[in-house]
Amino acid sequence: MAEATERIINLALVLAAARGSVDADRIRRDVAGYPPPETQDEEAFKRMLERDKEHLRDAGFSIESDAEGNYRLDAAATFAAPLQFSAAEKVLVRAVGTAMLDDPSFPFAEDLHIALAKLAETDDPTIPAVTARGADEDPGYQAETVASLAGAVSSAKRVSFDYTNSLGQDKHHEVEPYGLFARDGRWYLVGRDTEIDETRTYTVARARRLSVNVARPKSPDFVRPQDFRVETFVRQPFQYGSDDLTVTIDFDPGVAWRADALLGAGPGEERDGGESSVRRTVHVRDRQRLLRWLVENGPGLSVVSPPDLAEELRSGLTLAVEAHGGDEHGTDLR
Amino acid sequence: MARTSADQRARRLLALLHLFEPDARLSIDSLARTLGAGETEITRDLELLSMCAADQRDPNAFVPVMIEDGYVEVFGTLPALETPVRLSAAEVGALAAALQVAGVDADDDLLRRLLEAAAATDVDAASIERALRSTTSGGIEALANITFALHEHRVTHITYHGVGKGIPGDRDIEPLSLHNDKGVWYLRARCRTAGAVRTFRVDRIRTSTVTEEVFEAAGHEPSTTVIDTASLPVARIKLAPGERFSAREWPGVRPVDVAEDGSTVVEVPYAGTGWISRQVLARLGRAEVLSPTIVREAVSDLANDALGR
Repeated sequence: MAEATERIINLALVLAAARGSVDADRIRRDVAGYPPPETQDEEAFKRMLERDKEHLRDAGFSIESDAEGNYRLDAAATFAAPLQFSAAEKVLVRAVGTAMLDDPSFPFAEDLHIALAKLAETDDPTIPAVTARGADEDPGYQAETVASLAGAVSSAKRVSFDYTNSLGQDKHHEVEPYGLFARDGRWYLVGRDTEIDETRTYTVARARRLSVNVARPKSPDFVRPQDFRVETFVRQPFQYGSDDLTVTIDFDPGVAWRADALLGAGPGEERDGGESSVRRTVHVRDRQRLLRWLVENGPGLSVVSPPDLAEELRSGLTLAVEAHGGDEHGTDLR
Repeated sequence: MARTSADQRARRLLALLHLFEPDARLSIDSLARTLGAGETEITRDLELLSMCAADQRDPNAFVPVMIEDGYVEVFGTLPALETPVRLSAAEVGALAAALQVAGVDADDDLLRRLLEAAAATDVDAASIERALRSTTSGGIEALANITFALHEHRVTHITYHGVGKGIPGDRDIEPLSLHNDKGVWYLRARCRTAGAVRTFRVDRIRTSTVTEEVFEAAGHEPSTTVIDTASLPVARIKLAPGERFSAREWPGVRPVDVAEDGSTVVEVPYAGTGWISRQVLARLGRAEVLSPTIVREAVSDLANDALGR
């Protein structure tokens, strides 16, 4: 094991220190760790060298080769330029990165460790007190599964898994994974379900016995649609369901500044008056959930249209007043 | 413990090399933390590194490190690789996913500058973000300011829009710790205005200004939970038949009774009446606070306000 690690580092040092190209014979002769010709045939040596170069590419090295078997490190493509970051930006990147490393549900810890090490300027261990817990349901399982799925997304390999939907129904799915997103403590997979030929969203924590197609690992199983953007699948809680309506919401002047934070940046119609209120239109798939969301994020949010939804909100508020208005506790709730 | 592969060990040592400036003295503990490995493992790897060379026949071409008393002493100049290597696509993806949680999007200037300087030339943020998204609440500006203030122990002036408040209010705070819970950033800070330690949602900080004033940072352990529900008062709430509840929405919720008609009584820990009353009101008549009276009245007041009465 130590020999292979040492050999890969030696190869990196030899390529980086060389003024020009280095041929395979010199590598075999000068790089400690490659067995001599007496104990390893040419084909085995070439396979070993190719594997080592692949490892260096995975580490960020850009290695060029020509038809004659010469290798050269492309310094401009390999080495980073100094970062032009302010002190606050440096702290932010380090603090957030460290917080994610502390989070058992963060799926890419190994790569993030390496990234932060490469960006480090000193071994200064003082980092702000920042922690994170991105997922609350089986965080280790979500991290491990998302890491596997992310590999399948980037290499375009088909996956299969058993899935329990929100109604408790179990089914096996074969999916072409297009993308992943995290929201409100859960990771989600978006991909084309090959059986029904539809793009669907799956909650990762509900998927079990995940299997990634390992046949022909370097060959993609599918082509992701050019216009796919995973962010278009990241929706508000009221945008999942079977309702289908368009709702106009007003944010009063005092809370108008929160419209983008709550709904994401989007086209909004600003209205007149002092510090302006903001009017936003949203597509809603669950009207009850929208009303709940409006109250949870209030005061200052109101339904402009459709009028029946505005009335539904009003009657719901009236019911709440009636339930809490008198001395009698334990109303007959419907 | 999982065994680390040879290529992974090589990769993490190569990621560290640029820190080995002549005469540097680096703590193994901190290097181990940087790489997420054990001290023993890193010590063994660094010993191995001391045997690596650009030319095994030249004593000056070895990596000039010596391990002693928990430190790495760098006694010469590296034979090569003194500049950090660019981030691979996988490393950029990991960093982008982490920074998304801080509100840094693909088109953010910070990520653009980072990629230009430090990422492999065939990597672009937009292509990563097409397939990967970690959502977070709130913008990057307040988080960047707060993180900096936390690091520098600086008093910070904020305008904060509290839960249930119609307009933001001004506060001077001493930031103590930050915690991200399911995509929402929470700041624990000593609020000078309130004269007590308070928890603030960062996405409710409308403006933030880091002052020059440095505060005395007493020992404060960052928490991995937002609120310790065990120490909070509880509200007894009756839910209409079929009305669902979960610990994800109401941390620490506990069902205490199910009536014949299917209605459920639950106990919900709460830190302030503002939050719990709004949660109950949001059920629009399908939930009723049975006790305490103060929460019951808060729901009634809130509902009347919303109706403009």
